[in-house]
Amino acid sequence: MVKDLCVACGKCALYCPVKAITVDEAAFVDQEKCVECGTCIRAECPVDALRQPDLKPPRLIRKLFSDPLATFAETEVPGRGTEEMKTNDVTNNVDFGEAGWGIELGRPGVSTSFTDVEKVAMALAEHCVEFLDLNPVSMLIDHGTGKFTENNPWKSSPSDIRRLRSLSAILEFKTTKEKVPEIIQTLKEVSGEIDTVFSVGLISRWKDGELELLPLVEEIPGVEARPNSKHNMGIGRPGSG
Amino acid sequence: MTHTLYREGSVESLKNDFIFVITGAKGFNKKGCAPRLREMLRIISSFNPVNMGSMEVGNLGRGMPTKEIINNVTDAAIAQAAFDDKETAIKVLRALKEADLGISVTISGLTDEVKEIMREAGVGDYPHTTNLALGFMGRREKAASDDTRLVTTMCGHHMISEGITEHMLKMIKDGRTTPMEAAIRLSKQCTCGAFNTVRAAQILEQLAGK
Repeated sequence: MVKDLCVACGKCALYCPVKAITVDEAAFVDQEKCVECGTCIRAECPVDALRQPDLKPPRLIRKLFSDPLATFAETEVPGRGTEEMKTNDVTNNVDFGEAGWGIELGRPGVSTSFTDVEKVAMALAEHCVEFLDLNPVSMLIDHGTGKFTENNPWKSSPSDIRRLRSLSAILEFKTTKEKVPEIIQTLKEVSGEIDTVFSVGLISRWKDGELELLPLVEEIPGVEARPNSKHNMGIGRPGSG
Repeated sequence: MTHTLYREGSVESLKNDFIFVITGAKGFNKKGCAPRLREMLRIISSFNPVNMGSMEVGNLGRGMPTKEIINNVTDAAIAQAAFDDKETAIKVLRALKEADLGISVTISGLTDEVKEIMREAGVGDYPHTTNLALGFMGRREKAASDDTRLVTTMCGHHMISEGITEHMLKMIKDGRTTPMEAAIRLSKQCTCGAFNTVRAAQILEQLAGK
């Protein structure tokens, strides 16, 4: 924020999705709350007073997890850095008899601390879930324990990572389909121990015209599949590259 | 990511919301896929989506011309387009199938409607894979209100804040803007192009009348 330029119109504060900006004589960005999503910069400040400095790790990690215009070099995917099930017709990452999971901490619109990301990852790791490799959160955690490790692409220490916040962060993993009830129970339990929200996506194949995992979900009290979901059309195929 | 999943609203209000996403698969067909993505976007754009774009490029909602979006798409793109009616979605899917470019296509929308789209387009009777939205858990009181989320969840990256949505709603109520003008203004914040401006305008109009 260039204070000398700011006219305190408050426009950027309205656009900030995490309420990190307050306005008095000039706009002030709370660096603890700010997730470096870039929304305020794209909010058309009338005097161009907002700038994003050249970020270095660990601060850069906030941007990578929050700004859809940032691309994870390791996964080659912009957005939150995952292909999820968009390409499952080609990759078969989630097969019959398996459950794919996408637990997006901070969504919808609340944001998350990485302490909470680790808390949920550790709870899931106790159930021997298979964290997917091509996922940015997977690159920060030990897949056996769910704890942050310094063995990450940004060489950031676990304590530095725990101090981060992002607009959201997606834990992606696989289990057998039999584990669906216990994973949902674990999610319910850990949801009471965190200071944010998470959205739950369950990836399933279709078998003989039926969504394979839907009957399992329907038996679990308090959980309901929404009538709208995301569907892979099955018209992709492997090629080169 | 799951940026077109978790859109909220009644079945009735989701009947005009279909989002197509196309992307290459790393290690399988991503390398060198940009020309095929461009061809698919050319097909999609010929059916006049209400929004279209790609994260690293820009989108119609932010005022980028269609040609520029298509030409700037790279191998890394996750490109998307929003349509507000089923009949057009059928035509788009049929055209993408006939083009047979081997790139994965997903459609987010009501499951029953999407299955019908697939059948009518000759793609099959049911999807290959589905990501089921099971809602959200945790400190629910920290999220925006149920009404506001009808609009904000249409940008899965959450670039559209609670604050600007409620501000736009107030402007509509005060007669300082129209629902469609407000929807277009909001869509500028959605960097990828998944925001359905037509549906947003309808929701804003309903909320303003409450």
